[in-house]
Amino acid sequence: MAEVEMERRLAEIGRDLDFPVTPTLTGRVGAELRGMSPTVEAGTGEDPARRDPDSSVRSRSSVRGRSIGEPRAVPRLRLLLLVVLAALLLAAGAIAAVPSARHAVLEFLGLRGETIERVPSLPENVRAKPGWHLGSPTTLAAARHGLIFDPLVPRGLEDPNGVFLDSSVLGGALNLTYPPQPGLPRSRLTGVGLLIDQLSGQAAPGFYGKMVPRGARFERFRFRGQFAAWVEGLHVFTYKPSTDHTFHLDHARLAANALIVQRGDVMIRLEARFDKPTALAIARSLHP
Amino acid sequence: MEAERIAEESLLARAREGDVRAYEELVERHQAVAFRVAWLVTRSTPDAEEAAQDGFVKAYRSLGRFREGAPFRPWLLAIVGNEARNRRVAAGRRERLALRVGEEMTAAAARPAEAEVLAAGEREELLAAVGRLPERDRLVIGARFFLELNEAETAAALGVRRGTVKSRLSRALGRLRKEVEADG
Repeated sequence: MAEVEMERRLAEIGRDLDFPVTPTLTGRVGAELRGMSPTVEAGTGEDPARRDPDSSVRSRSSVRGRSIGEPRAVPRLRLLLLVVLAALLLAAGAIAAVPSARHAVLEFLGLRGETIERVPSLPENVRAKPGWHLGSPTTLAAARHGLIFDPLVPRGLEDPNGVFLDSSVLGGALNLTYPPQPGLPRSRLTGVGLLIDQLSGQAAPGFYGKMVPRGARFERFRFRGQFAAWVEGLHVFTYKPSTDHTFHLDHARLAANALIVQRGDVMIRLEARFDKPTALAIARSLHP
Repeated sequence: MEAERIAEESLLARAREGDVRAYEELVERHQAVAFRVAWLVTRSTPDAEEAAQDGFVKAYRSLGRFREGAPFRPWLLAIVGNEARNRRVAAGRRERLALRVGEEMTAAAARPAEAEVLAAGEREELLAAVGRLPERDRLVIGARFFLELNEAETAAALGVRRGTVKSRLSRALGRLRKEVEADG
């Protein structure tokens, strides 16, 4: 391959690469700066990045109102939460190795429709597959007859440009696709602005799976009294085909940021190029 | 372009006087490239986020040393790049470049399917070949082609001289070509 051609292709790859979503740093940087002395330091000629190696810790702490040099105080509640979270992550790791325990622990975690596993890195051969495994196109009214739960739709967004029913899932799964719109740019991984999947966690426990590599952020938290999870960064999304009920990388695709929440027994998964506050705002707006 | 430069200089002048709101506008303008540079170096989203945020804070605290009239972006990227390198060294991470080429639905619809599959396959192979290169080669190729940084910005982000960028890029492209040929 000629060098010019190679450079052209590299530039083309650059334009198509799915970088992780840029976090909104404006507010956080502003908050840190407002928490510190407003005066800018006078020049010394030193490299600013090398001069103060631990100022990141100090400046971050200043946002919380702790004075410089004061030892970091971990609130007891936070410490307790960290212990509980560590226990949950250990439990999640353990169930990956012992499938028979999976259901019981998922019951405990509350995310019955989805299995989430931590992996060291992304598997090599998993790719983006826009439009993958959505089910048969239908209308929302028709889909209701194939579902054992009442589907939910978000308020304040443009209407979905795709409604799909997956009847291979016990209890039915509803997949809604939304066109790109303000705050929801088109994702190269899904091909749409927003993808919403819904299924019954009771009827299809652990049907969906996620493999979250070390580089991706993974948080569990409570949302409206039920367990929820937020995954930020590239990860693998899988499902169990009805034929053998186990996860295979053949049935997997790369996924972007995703929020998983539960409403009663319905597990809802939102995937888009959005940040957590936007995802939560959409989840809050879901209604029958 | 000129209007943009003047607007940026005005924001910098206000930020230098302690106007945080003006600095937030600069953060807004440069957060995407700062985060991506940090991500290229750390290959970790949380680390990149921290490095970019700390880089912006350090840059603000050092505005008194910023040379008036100089472009802000390379100076900022030097700080962010250094923050990112510190984190990478601390974490001892050596994970592979985990980027994948996204599939373009619209492009696929507009082009013959076979041509699209072939083009996507070639791009995947080229990206995989980049992933097999030594880290310094991957970084310089990533900065120049994937982040579309110019030479000065690449030098700043990677903490090397401009001349080094030129020679390093040339060697990296040579090794990449051999890698692709060996693969084919």
